[in-house]
Amino acid sequence: MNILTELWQQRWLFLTFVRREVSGRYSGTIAGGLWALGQPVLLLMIYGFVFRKVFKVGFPELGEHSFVAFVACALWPWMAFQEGVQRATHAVVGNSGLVKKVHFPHELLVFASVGATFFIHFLGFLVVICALMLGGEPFQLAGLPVVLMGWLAILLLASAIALVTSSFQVFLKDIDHMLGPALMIMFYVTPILYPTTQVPESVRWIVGFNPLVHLLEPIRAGLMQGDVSAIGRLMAFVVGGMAAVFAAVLLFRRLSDYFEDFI
Amino acid sequence: MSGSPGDTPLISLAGIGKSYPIANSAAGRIRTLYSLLRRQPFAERYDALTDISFEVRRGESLGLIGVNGAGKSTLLKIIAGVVKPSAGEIRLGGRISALLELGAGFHPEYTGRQNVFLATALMGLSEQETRERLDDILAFADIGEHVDQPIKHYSSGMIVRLGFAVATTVSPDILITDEVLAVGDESFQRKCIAWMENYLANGGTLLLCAHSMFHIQKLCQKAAWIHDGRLHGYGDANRVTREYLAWHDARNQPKAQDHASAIKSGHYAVLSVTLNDRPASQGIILSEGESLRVGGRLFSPDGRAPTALVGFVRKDGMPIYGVSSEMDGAVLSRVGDSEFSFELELPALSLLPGEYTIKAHALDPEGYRLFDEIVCDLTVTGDSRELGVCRLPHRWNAV
Repeated sequence: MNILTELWQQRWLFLTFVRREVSGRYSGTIAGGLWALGQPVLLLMIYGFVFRKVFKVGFPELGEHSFVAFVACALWPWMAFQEGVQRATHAVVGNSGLVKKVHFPHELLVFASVGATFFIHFLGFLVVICALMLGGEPFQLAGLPVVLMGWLAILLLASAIALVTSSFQVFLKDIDHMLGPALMIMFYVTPILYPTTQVPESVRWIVGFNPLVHLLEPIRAGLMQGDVSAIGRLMAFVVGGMAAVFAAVLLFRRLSDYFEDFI
Repeated sequence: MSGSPGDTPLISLAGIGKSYPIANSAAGRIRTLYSLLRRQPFAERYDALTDISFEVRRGESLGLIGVNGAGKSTLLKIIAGVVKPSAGEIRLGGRISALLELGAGFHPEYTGRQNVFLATALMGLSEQETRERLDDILAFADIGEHVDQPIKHYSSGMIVRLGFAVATTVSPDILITDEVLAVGDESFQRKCIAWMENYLANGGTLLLCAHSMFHIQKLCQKAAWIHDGRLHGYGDANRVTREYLAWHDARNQPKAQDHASAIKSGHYAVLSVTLNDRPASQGIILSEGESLRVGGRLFSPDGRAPTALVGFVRKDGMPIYGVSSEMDGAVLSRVGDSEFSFELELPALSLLPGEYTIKAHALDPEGYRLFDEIVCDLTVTGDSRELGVCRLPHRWNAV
């Protein structure tokens, strides 16, 4: 619990880091924060075109919803997860000036990087969901609790992974190179562009090992069908996620004492 | 800055050690990572610091001296909290502000104002506290309207000015600096020095790492000499710096070699010098008005008595007085086939309190050519309020 009080004392520093991350990511660009929205929207349009118009994909789970809405529900949380882990992996190495010369808890850099990414993509998510609803998409607002709980669980998962990758990155520069392909594979084995039910029976049990499946599916079910039955399971994931972050901080701290020597 | 001198120490180090893994290869990095995760000692390690113990009390500024790579910076980083010691215990009794690198952590893309907020947050200030100090910081840094431009457009001088202004805004109990006492242009340097003097006068404590013995002697009461990661000497700043300089002289050996080569090449040479019968290498401290005897042995290649010249020079190099045996018609006494000794007595030395250098030279018998010299330190203590370097005989007459 010592760690928690220490981190609480540093909340101003954390907020400053987050603000710096958010404002710095798009400073010097003309479109500014629009980039945060533009990239996933462009992806969404391409997926819509390729899968809907070219492959003529269709499945019963869609119901009265469009394919674009189906993908959008899971794409933004995924983007936050992927970008959060990828950016935060460089959080320690990219702030070598601070790490070498100033005394502060280094994990704040990782939390701030993940937090800023999630903040940006969560806003983008809200904008897109609202835009689709204005366009006539029948999303169910009753699913809001599972949506929020799902986002929280993904945030914790991304933080725990990023704490490990960012600290290992200081010692082994290979982490960064492994992460790109790993995340790309994960994107395709996670039911973002397709529902889990479309996965062949014989390999569906493997899909269950991917924690993101259990987090993205409820978000989608909540928004599309107003299904909040998964709330209990998500809460368990949040508690598990907190434990994972705590364990990751302990691991991170074993390494962080020697960051300044290796960075 | 509260509390009285003599209460609990501000910094207390007990058996501090720091070792780093040696990891030059990929396999070494993996081994290091593994032993860190398992909390095992490193297979191959390098001890940067070993068993350092000392205390720093309030108002008792400390200077760290030592050759490059001795471990001074590592020790400063440990005290600043940037590096965790591998062994020993460190206790801090006050707020520390470390100026390890002015402007460290400034981000080039952000404006000066944004960077100020980050830097103060790193020092533990809340946003509200920073807002209250912002005007003072910006006034001290004196960078005008540049404050709302990205730091990347700043000159290096402007960055250090902003860095110094931020670091000094909290008036810390301990200020740690790594050779960054005076930064920026002439007028800002004066501001820095004025701030530092005011800080010290108000009971602030300085922890300084410098290669300039002048700064250490001027600003610090105590000095710690770190050598090969160990505490080689600790105590009064004047004494430790003198020992350090003497060690440097001995290490560089040009003097000794000069003697050897002077003797070999058949020149007159100074073999040894004593001050009040003690070896001159340690220097000497006298109270004002005390007597001084400068003794020495000279080498003569041809058996003729050489000329001894003794000079007094102020620390900044200004000559004060010099006199040779030849000028006074004194003859050196023979103590061996090619060795002669001299002693110059200065009863009631009239130098005023301060730091001086004594130079003893060997000249040829005619007093024309200067061949060799030995330099030693002289400190005159006292509380005379007279001005200048020496007392001239005088009296005030009633008229």
